[in-house]
Amino acid sequence: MTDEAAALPNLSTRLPVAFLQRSGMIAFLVLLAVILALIAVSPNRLSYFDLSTISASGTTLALAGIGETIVVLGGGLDLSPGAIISLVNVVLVTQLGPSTLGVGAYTALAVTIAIGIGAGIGAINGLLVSYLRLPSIIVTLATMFVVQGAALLILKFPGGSVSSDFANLLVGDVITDVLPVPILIIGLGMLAWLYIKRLRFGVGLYAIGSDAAAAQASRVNVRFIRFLSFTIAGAFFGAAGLFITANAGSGDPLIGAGFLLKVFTAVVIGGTLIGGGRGGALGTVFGALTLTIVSTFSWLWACGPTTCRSSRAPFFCSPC
Amino acid sequence: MQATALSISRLTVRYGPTTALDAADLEIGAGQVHALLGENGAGKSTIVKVLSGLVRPNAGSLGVFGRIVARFEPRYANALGIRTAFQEISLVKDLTVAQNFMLMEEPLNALGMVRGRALDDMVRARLEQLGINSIDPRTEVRRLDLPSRQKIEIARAISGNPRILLLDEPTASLSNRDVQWLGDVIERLKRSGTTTVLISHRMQEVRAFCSALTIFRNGRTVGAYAMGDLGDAEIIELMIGRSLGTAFPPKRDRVEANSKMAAPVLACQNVATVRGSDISFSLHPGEVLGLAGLDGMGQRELFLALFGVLQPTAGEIRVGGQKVQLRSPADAITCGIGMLPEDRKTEALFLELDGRENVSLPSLQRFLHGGLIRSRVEQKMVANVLDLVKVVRRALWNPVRNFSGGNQQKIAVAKWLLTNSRVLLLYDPTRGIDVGTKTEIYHLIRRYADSGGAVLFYSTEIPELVNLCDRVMVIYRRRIVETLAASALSESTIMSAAVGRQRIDGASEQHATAH
Repeated sequence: MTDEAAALPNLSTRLPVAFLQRSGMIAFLVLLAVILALIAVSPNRLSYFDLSTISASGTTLALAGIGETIVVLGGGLDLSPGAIISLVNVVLVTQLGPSTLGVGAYTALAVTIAIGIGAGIGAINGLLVSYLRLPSIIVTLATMFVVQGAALLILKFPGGSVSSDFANLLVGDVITDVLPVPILIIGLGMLAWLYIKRLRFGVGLYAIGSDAAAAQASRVNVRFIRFLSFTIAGAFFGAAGLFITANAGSGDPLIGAGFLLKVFTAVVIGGTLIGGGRGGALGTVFGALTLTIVSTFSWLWACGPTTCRSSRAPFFCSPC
Repeated sequence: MQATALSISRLTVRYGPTTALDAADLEIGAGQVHALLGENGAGKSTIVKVLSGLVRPNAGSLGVFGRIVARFEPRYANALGIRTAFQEISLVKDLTVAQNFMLMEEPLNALGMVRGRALDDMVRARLEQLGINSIDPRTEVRRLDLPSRQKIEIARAISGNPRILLLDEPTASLSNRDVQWLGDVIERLKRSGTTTVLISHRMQEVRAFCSALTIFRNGRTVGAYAMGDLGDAEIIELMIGRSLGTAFPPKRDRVEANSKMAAPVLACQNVATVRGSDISFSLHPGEVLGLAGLDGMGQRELFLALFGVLQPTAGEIRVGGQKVQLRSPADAITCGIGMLPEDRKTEALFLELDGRENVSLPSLQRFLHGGLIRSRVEQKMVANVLDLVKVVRRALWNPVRNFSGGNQQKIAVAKWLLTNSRVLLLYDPTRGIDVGTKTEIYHLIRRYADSGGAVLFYSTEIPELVNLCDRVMVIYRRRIVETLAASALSESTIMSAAVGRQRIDGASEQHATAH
């Protein structure tokens, strides 16, 4: 036994690579590369307007992605984010509507309802998965149908609206022409994740996702942590539903329907291992932004020369 | 009169149709170092799992320091002062050593966040206190080799200041020096009043560390004895319920003469790996060539290079006289090389798949008919090799997870019998395997060699090398420093070469290193 024998040299994963993966750096570099490539290709300058619209359309995905990352890290899968987003949207539109409340009280109420609904449904998922030991993919598939059905029962057709003051608060500017609110919200989501990660819960989350049996033997309360992971994820899905409602300003029972695949795509681009134990939500946020930019760009690629030559042409226009 | 630390009576544990413990009794006095002995599947590990709160017994009672324990969960076991180092190491691979050490006991700040640096410092101090300086607490466990993981597993159990310490095969992958370290630690704990329960298959350690022992067989208690009352042979007889006969098959004298004539089936010429240089040897049909060495001397890399996992940085490998480039294990298998790796559970077997799939995987090509697997032929051939290695037919359709370590190892051997391998690379194949099965594996190896196969056999247990091998090479600091012929084989000659001591008598006629 020599001392240098203790740490086995693993040729495929040298330290810098591990560092890049751990902190979501690769996803960040990919995001940066995409942005730089678009700046090089686009004839228009990147303006504050672009920053504002892109961040607004990426925030819902980023928030839902943080939630999904938490479940995935713990070794589970949650298929319910889209349905929860839809339910939160229709509940806010039908129950609050364009109310006469002050904007502060309105927002506080909306946040409570949205996060409450999300966390509540997440808790049901968590109970069924951790205490009844049902497979998470089955449980959340069922919840997805039930919750989506409930959303359609509450609001059959798109319609209704929320308070415009509330909407402007969430998609407006913190500092005009410098910092849009959605960026602040994404930042808060990332801070929340960093906090969660450093809690004892966070260590336990990685532990149960990496090896539930070993975690159990190391006195980790596996069931409680799994339960909590679904509940917290639900809260993030609720927050995503809140934000998309402010961004859209109106109700649509199928507003979250397209999110499921995108959420998982963001998680995977972000470097979190499906199956658990490795990765983190910072990467997911970068993944969500990359995804949003690329899809916005591809959509606008075909917008034609007229739009591009107008004075407020978005940055993402083709050099046609 | 000693107080009782642990008393178990009529404890029964069933896993579905199998009974792991059948009304077993155990009593351990406070402050004792007590050994639990028995073959694999005798129920020792189940007792450890019950005591750690991982398995709930179906019947029986359990007392800890005179108190009857009604409900067992890991956290309650912890509260009672019971700490365990498990055989299946219970470290979480994606966490760091420090995170594993203090899992759910991390130092927190006012916001409930883990104080990372304080955690690392605490664990570093504790490791140093236990004499482990070579492992950085910030290392992820997945980057540690097996012996280091085992040391950390033990250190973690000890550092909780246990009243009762359970060690389930703690030395299975430790080198002799680390076993010595463990002995010192146990001795220190004993002086401070800790009760230790040790499970081990190595009689030497059991003798050195323990004052009493309890023997189990088929889930039942055979009896409890003081260490001095029984000789090794008696203990083994009580464990397996019959006398063992000779553990090692006889060597055949003519092999040496034969192998000189037959062309080598595997030859290395000045092979260098990341941890080895200038390695030359040749392996002949019908030969069991041993490899001895302390941990981390380059034997692992040599095996991996011969199986195509690592690329040698220099030199050439010849199989049957042909120079070959082994770029992957697939190449090695095509050349007729099979390997039992260090960790059979992760590297040799698919635990969730059944025995048929495990055994036939490298040979699937042979069962193909128009691209489809002819499962009837497959089943028949696999059943044949399972018979050869004496594993029950039930293994054909049961996940290998359900089998004991010894049977798993035999299934792994069966895989290479099916590919008709000419060369078997065995990396410590009897680690963590009970005496009865060990004997079977020795005979299996010898039969394989007698029927013309060639075996490269690395073992951490020197007596195995002495009694089973025709020649033994000793690796020290990346080089083969000695090749001992049958006549020169003894534990002391191997050991002295393995620790790098030069031979002074010059009795060996085959110095592998020319310089």
